[in-house]
Amino acid sequence: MISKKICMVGAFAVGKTSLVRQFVESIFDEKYHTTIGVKIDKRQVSVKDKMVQLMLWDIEGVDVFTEFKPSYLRGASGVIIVADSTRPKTIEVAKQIKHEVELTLSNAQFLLLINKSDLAAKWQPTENDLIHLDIDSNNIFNTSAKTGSNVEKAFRRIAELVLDTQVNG
Amino acid sequence: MVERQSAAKKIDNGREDTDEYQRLRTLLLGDEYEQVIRHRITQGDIQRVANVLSEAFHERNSKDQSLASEMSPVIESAIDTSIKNNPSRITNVIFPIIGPAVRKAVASALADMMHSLNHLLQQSLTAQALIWRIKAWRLGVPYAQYAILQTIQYRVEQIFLIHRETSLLLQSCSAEGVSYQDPDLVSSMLTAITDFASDSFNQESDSLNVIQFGELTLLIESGPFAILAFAVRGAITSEVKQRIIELIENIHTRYASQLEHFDGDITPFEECHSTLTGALMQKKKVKAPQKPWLAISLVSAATLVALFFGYQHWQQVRTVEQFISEVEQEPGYQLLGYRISDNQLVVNTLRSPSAISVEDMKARMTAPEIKVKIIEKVAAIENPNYFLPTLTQKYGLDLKFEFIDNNRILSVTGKTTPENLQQLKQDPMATALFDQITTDNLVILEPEPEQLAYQRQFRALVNDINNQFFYFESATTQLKESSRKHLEQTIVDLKSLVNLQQKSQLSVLQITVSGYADGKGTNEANQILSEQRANLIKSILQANGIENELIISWGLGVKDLEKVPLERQRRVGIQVLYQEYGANQ
Repeated sequence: MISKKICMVGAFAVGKTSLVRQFVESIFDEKYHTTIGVKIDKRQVSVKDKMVQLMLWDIEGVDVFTEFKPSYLRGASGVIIVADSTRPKTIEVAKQIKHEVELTLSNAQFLLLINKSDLAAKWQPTENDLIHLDIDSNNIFNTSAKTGSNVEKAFRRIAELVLDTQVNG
Repeated sequence: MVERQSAAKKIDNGREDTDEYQRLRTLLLGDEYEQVIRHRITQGDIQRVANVLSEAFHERNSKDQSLASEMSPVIESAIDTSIKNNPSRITNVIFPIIGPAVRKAVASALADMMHSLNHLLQQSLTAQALIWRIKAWRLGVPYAQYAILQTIQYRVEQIFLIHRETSLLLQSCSAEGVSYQDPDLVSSMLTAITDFASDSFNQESDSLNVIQFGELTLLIESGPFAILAFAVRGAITSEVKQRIIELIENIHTRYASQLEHFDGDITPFEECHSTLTGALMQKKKVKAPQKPWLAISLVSAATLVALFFGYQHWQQVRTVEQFISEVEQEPGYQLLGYRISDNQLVVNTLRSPSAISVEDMKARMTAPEIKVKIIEKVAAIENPNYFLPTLTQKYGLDLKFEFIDNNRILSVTGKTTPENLQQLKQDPMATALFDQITTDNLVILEPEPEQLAYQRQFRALVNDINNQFFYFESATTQLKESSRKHLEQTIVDLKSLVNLQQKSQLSVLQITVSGYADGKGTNEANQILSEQRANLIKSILQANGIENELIISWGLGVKDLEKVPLERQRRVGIQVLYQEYGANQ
């Protein structure tokens, strides 16, 4: 079996923990709990007849008080950057995080999730954002941890991406 | 020297003259060079390797243990193949060690059983066990777990092998009966915690070595590519620390390239599961080796109780038998039967009114060690007919009561042995009831002389032996399976016959063994075959201790009529000739 480490990163309260919970346990809870340090979960998915075990590292959100800790990223094959469709500022944080991640990881695969699609969107990623982020549009998803919309699809996509790197590498 | 230098110069300049070069080689190396070249050509790679193979093994083995770990899968599969191809070979090889091994195993299993019985008793009966139970209850942990904690010095409960870079779990194992969380999550979380500690205290080069919570200690040893973590309950000794270091080094040697180029595929590490399981060590608290006194005393107590009851029962049976025989001897009493029920001896008797009362009789006798209840039936002496069926049944005779001249006479008819008649005459019931016993019409059977019985037995055996034939497979001296068994019986019979000679005054003169062949094949061949068959049976008889002097054997070839089936023709028969002792003298 193949195991892969995937990190969830993003600004605080964008829904990283809720996305993981929706993906692993199919549960959504309205209450907000802030993550301190890191929470780890796992789920197996089958991609192209292969079982891949995703070890999901849900890293605490970045805010004014918490700086990004790159040591949790070590050895990750994939990074899921999460932004909040109701808070335009979160895409700025995403850009900044992507930049920091690239300093630590050279070969990681990236996915951008714009979460909370069940609420009215307050912003859309601009062309400038996309250039800055340098993420293929196939790897950007509008998700909702509450309704589960696109969650399964997004995680399957990251599984495919990290498996492809393995085959090619 | 000059010549040599100039020759070298020529080569340097690249103006190689083949002849010159050849000459230089011949000058430098002479004839030996040709020999070496020839030797290298004729001797193939295989032979060269073969010459140094054992030395190479020796050399490598003295450096490190890698040879053993590399060879073990080869040897395992070699043994596997060998067993599949020819299991008996391995069986023969290990056969001599199986016996001692089994004996040792049985002995140690018995000792273990005694110790575990002792352990069980200690755990359930002693004051300490009770205290432990209360403490376990107060702490809210199961008693078994608490007891383990108290009796072990340490126990390695779980082992994780983690890839250092990705913190993915490569392999894990846990001790029996240990409940645990998902090892994948534990290993990731463990790395996260170590990272957190390193980050928080800015100790870039150092990493967390020990995490302790309560009784459980997490011992972490990092190698360049992998981390090994032992979850240990109890007090960690240097032994455990040494082991974890050895293990991580060993794993790095074995899986160097797999670890370095790890891409998430954990399959190659499955085979190190057994190595990890081997490191699940534990140490019991050292206690002076004790005799299992509790178990010994329990077993001895049980034996004593069994002996006591056994003796009591034997004593009871003895006294009951004594009592019953006294009742039988008592004049005027006839025992009808007795039984023991509900710890009471119930005796049924017939009593003539003239006899002493039951109470008097009981008082006179040795009382058995059991309560006695005597049920008596008092029968009027005026009617002895009442008793006749009892006596008839007892002695198997026709009995009649006659009253002549005021005398009560018992007239006995039928056939009986002198012993039986003697017993009737002494029977307390008969003597109490009758004044006289007449046996005028009784036929007394004379006892058969012993010798006659033995002679009858002897003749019956001879008859059995003479009527037994032993049949053979076609054209061989191979006995049929059924005949083999008959031959065994015949040998037993012959031995009994020899033993009976003295008692029966009959003596065996000769044992004739005659062989036959069937009508197939030439007469000559059949003659030889029939002799061989007879000789075979003769030699079997001799080998089984039948006196050689008595046996003669001959082959008769084909003697049977054509209508006798061929399989009946292929046979050997035995005839015993005997006569009475001293008939010749």
